[in-house]
Amino acid sequence: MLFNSLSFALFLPVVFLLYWFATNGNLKLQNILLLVSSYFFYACWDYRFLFLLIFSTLLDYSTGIKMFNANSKTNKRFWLWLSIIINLGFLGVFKYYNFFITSFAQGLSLVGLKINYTTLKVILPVGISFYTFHGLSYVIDIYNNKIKPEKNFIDYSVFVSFFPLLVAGPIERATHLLPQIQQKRTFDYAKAVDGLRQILWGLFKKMVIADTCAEYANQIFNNPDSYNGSAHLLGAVFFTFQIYGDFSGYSDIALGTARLFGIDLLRNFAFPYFSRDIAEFWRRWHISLSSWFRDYLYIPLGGSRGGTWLKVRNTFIIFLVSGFWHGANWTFIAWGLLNALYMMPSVFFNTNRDNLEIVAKGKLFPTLKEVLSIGITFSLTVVAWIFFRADSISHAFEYISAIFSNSLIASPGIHPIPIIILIIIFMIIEWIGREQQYAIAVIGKNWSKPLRWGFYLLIVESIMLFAGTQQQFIYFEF
Amino acid sequence: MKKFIFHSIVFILLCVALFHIKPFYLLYHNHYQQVVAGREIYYAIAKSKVKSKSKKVLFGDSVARQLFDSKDSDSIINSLASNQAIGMAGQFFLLQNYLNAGNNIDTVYFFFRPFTFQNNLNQVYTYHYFLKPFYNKEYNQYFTTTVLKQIEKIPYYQFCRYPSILTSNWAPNFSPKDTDNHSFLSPISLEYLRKIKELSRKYNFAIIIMPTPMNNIYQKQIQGFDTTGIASTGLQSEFKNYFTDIIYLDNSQFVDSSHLIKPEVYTQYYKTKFIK
Repeated sequence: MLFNSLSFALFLPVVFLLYWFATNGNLKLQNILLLVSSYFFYACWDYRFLFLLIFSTLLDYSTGIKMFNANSKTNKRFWLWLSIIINLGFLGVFKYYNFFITSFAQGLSLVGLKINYTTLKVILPVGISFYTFHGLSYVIDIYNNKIKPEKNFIDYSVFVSFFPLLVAGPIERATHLLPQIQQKRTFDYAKAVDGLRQILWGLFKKMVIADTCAEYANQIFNNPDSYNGSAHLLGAVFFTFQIYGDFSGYSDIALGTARLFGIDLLRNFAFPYFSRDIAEFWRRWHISLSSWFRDYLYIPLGGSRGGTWLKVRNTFIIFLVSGFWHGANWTFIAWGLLNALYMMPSVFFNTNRDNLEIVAKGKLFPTLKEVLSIGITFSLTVVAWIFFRADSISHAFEYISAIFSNSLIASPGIHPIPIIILIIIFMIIEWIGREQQYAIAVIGKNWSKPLRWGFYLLIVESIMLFAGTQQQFIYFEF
Repeated sequence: MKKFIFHSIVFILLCVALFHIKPFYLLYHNHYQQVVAGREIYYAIAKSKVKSKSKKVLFGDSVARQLFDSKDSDSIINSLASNQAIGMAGQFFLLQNYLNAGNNIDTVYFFFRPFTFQNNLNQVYTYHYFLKPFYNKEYNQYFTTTVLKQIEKIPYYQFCRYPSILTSNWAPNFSPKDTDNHSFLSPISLEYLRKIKELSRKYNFAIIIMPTPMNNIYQKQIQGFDTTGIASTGLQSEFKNYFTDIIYLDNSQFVDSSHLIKPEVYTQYYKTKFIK
C-alpha cells in the first residue's frame, strides 16, 4: 500500500475516524487500533513477512526485559549480543547474503580459484532495514541504561510497527516515540491541519517533482550511449531532485500522517540542498539515519575524541556502513566512500560544525559566498548521487567521464523545459520556507482563507496534472 | 474535531469539484485525447474511422510510428501506427474500425517489434493505453473471454472510464504476475491474430508482417523465442521471413534501447523492400 495510492487514501481516513471516534479516547484501544492497522498496512505488502516483523518485535521486547533483569554485566552483554546478532543476521540473510557470496566467489576467481555457490531466491522484506534499526536502538539504549524496558507489549509493538514509519522511516528512538505512545492523546486541530498540509507537500514532492524527474533520469541513466555530456549532466541533476523529492516526500507524508494521530516523528530532512558544506548536508539529509549512526556507531568508536586520525577512521567507518546500509552493491559503498572523502577537509580543519544554522537565516537572499558554497556542495552531491544511481561502479565512472567530455557544452538533445521550470518553482518555495519544518508550513498562514485554500488547491491540481503511473518510493528497496 | 472534519470535507469537496470541472472541460469535444499520454492511440482510433483512398494500411507500435508517422499524409500507405501497449487486441479493433468505415483494402501491413507480440495486456501501461481508450461499449463486442479475464486482474479497471481518470495520466500500480518472456506470441496475440486472419479471408486482403529495426542487445533473446504458437494463427506464411528480416543495429543508434535516433534513415528501406 503506497502512500500515493488510492488504497492508502481510503485506509487513512478509516483508521483516523476509528482512532478518534470508535476508541472514545481510550489510550489502550487507540494503541491496539494503531497496531492492528499497522500490521494490516504491512500485510498489504506481503503478509508472509509479517511473521518476521512480529518475531523481530518479540525478540527485542524480550531481550530488553532479560537484559534489564540480568544480574551481571556478562549476562547483560549476552542478551545484547544475542539481539544484535539475530537482528543483523536476518538483515544479513535477506539483504546481504547474495552480495557477500557473489563478491567472495568473484574475489576468488581473480586468483584463479572457482567455487560453486548458490544464491538465495528471496525478496527483501520491505522495511527490514528500518525496523531492525528501531529494535537495535531500543536494546542498545537499555544496555546503556538510557531507558527502561517497555513492559507493555502492545505499546512496544506500536513503537516498532507504527505504520507511517514502518517501511521507510524515519528511524525512531524509543526515548522519543515510546513516551508519546504511552501518553494520552487528545485531538489537536492545529496539529492535524499541519499534518494534512505536510502530507500535501509530501505528495507534491513525490508525484510532481520526483516522478517527473525520474522519467528523464531513468531514460538517460539506462541509455547512456544515446546521450551526450550535457544530457548526462542533466540526467544526474534530475536524479538529484528525484531522490530528494522521493525520500523527503515520503518522510513528509509519514510525519504528516503521524501528526493526524497526535504523534510527532523525528524530522528526517531539513532542506539539504541549501547546505554550505558536506557536514551540513549530512546534518540535513536522512537525519534519523545519520543521527543513528552518530549515536550507535560513531560515538562508541570514539567519535571526535582522540585526535585527527581517529576521527578520519571513524568518519570512513560510518560512511562506509551507511553506504552499505542502503544496499548490497559496491555502488553504495563507493557512494559512502566518496562522501567520507568529501568530509575530510572539515575533519582536518575542524570546520564540520561551522554551519549549524540554516543559510541566510532571517534574510531573503544569501550572500555571494553562501551561493558559491551551496553551489559547490550541491555539485559534489550530484557527483555522489551518480554512484548511488548507477548499476555498477564502471557504469558510474563511464557516466562521469561522459559528463566531462567535449559534448558537455553541446545542446543536450532533450528539452525538458517544463520540468526545469517546475524544479525552479519548487526550489523557490523550499527557499521561502527553509526556516520551517517543511516548506509550506507557514506559507499562506497570513493570507485570507480563499487565497490560502486556492494555494493548496493549486498544489492538488498540479499533483493531478502530473500524476501518471504510480511510482514506487526508492527507499522501499532499502 | 468537528471543525477539522467540516473543513476537511469542504476541502475534499473543492478538490472533487476541481477534479470534475477540468475533466468535463477536457471531455468536451474529446479535448483530453490531445493532452493525455498516449495521444497517438486516440489519433489512430479517430483516423481508423475515416474513409481513405489508400488501399494499403499500416498498423504498428511506437517504433513503427517513428518510421511511418500516422500524422504524415502518404498517398500510398495510410499509417495507423500507435503503440505496443494496445496489444494485438487494440490493433484488431483499429482494423475493424477501418473496415467498418467502408475502406477498401488490398494489403494490411503489421509493423512491430517482436516484443509487441508478447503483450498479453498485463503491462503497467495496459490501464492507461488500452483500457481507457477501448474498455467501453463500442469495443466490448470484440472482447474475448481471455481479454476480459485479463482485464479483471488489473486494479480499478472498472473506473477507467471515470471522467477524472479518463482525462488524466493516472494509472494504478500493477505488477503483472503472469509474464511469459519466452513465448513469441502471448495468448491474447494468438487469439487476435486468428481474428485478423479471418478478416483477411472475409474482406480479401493480404497481410504483410514486418519487423522494426532492433537493438542488437536483444538479438539472443529474440532468437531464443518459442515460436510454436505461429502455426495456430494461420499466418505461417506471413511470419515466414519475420525473424530473418530483422535488422539488428548497434545500441548507439537508439534513444532508449528501442526507439531510433534517426528513424527517417530507415523509412525508405522499408518502403522499397515491403511496400512496393
